[in-house]
Amino acid sequence: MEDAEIRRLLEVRSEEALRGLSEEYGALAESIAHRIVGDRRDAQECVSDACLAVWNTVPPAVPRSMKAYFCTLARRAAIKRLRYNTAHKREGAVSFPELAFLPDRAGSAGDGARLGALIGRWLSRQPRRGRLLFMKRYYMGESIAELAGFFGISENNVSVRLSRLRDSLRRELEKEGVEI
Amino acid sequence: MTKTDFLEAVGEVGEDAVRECLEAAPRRGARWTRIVPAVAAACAAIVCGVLLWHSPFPSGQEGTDPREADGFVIRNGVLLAYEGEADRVTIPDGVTEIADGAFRENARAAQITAVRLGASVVKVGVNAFAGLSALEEIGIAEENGAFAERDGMLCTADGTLLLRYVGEGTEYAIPEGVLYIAAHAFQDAPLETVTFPDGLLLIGCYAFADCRSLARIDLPASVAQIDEGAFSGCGRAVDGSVPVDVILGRDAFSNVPFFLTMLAGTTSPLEAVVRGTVAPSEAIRLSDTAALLTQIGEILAFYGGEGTGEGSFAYGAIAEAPPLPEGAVLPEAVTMEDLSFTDRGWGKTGVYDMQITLPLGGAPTVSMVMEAYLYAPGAVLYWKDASFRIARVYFTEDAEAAAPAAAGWSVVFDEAGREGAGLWTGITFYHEDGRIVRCAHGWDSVTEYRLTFSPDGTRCAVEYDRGDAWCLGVQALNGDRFEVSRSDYVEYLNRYFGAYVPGALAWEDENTLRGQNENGAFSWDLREVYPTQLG
Repeated sequence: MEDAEIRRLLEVRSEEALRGLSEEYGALAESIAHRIVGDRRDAQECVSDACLAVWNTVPPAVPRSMKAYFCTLARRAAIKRLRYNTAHKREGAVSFPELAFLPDRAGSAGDGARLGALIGRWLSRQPRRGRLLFMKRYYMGESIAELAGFFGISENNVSVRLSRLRDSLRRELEKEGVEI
Repeated sequence: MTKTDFLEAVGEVGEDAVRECLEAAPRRGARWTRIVPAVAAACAAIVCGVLLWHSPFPSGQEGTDPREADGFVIRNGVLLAYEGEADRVTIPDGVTEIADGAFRENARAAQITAVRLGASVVKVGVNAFAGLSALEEIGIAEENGAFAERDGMLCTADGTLLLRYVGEGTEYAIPEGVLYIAAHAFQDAPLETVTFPDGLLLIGCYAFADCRSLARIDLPASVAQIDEGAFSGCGRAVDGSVPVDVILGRDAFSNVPFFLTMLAGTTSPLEAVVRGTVAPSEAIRLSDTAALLTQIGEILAFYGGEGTGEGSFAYGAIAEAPPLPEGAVLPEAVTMEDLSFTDRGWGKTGVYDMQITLPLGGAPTVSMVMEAYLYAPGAVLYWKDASFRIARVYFTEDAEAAAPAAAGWSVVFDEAGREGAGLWTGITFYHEDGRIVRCAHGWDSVTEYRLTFSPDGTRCAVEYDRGDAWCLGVQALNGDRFEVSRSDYVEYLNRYFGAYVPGALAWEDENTLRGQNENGAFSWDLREVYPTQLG
């Protein structure tokens, strides 16, 4: 189903829209959510949450890309679920071991929007390959092996580049007064 | 900041970054198009003993079901596909043929570094190893008489199929008698010169991909087909010739500078532009003008209240465009004569930039300005396949202001049209009291860089080593905004003006640099697109 058709169905409040949405992008959204929460059932629930969010916000929102919108909503739901799981000490799959230096405490959500804007600005100054590498790892949650295959480079190369990216980002955030 | 904060923040970086990441395609797909040769004569010339192009299934073979073990899908002795996960693959005994595309669908094809053939294999398809971009060696059992190693190549015993280049040095003459060159055979080879023999018929997928030192590609008239990606990435090949009616696979010559010279013995108009024999603004008239006018028509329709805002122009051209100024009147129809063109040369992204201005009625000094770049799909052979694609639309009150900034500087935009302060190198500059005071180095493929500041401290020239070449970029401070010069001394200039030589750079005044390339000294007024060779 084309995006335009999904948008049209949403406008006339037909639930066919949600069926179309999950047919087109459901698998992708679930994989993104799964890489964050680590549990298949949790991931499926995140996708359902995302469908509901789309239903409630479109219209009046007019996303330029249904795929990006839907995936972002599913991912947000997954983060929320991850916070909940961490707070309740529920183990999921270990994702992002290289971020282990960051504390895992549940707690205030912090100013995600401001931090996101800072990261976004830093990201926009990176060359395309760096952007893709960073986003595929920390937005999509793809594994080092998957990234190596995608870019046609070795896994070690991927790790080194990611580590440099994180260093660059950390320096940028420190400059902006964000506590790491 | 917690891990969850970080992950959450990454989700808020903005839709452009998310979209870019969702839409990105892998670096090199293992897929290749099955091309049916139009030239029947070439087909007839195919020698038995080598299984060629498209059909992976030997004709007329019925009977036993494919045998699968350890990921090898074999039917009647023919290896049809390998679906296993090994990095070093040993073809099982009993396999007599390896079909074209046997590794094509393997998800880990790009990790396979070695393939070993036993004594039973007697036939290998030209594109049997297509997809194995990381292949380093093909091992063949000594007692296998169907293959041989000689004259710098691994080949069939009769010398008609060149399976893999195993020679050394920077020059190589492919032996006479070779008719087919297997997929990936020469990939990444450090060769500067390759001589192709008369009689050569077919060059397989990615056979010469990433041969970055190759200076020329001269193919004999006998070549009938060049498969996907065969010469992709041969970035130094500034000259050569290709037979007129050869069948080309996708990306066969992508990133090859001379690829537009497709007719042996003649030069296409864009090539002439690049070599300086045709005025650049004539280039627009030589490309697909119908495609350009269609885009302009779509843009006018959008501003006129019809149209969806989508069209054949680049995404975002209209989405981020400002509204039509007061009083401006859109023309009913547009012809090439209504437009004026300003050549902006080869931009940072390696594409050719053109600025197109269309005066609007109703308000005498209002014009629509469109920034376009030369767009060519996949393996472009002919000038008529290349067309300018509009990427940005804005309006100007003053026709003069529509000209490129007099200073020759522009605020740096990345591909998504967002403003950034760094160079492609990832170096970020800081300023204080009207002077550049400090810089911070990000990362990319840059391994070394040198800064040279202008006397008044408002400009900084950055010489950087990209690994395969030295390049030059210039950043300027304008008030409290950083701008970069419109043309870096990067691929285009390294190729056509001479390789940049670092270490001899000096500022003559705030707009002029004096430097060195392999041809001697050059002077560059940075308000101009191209430098001037002095010696």
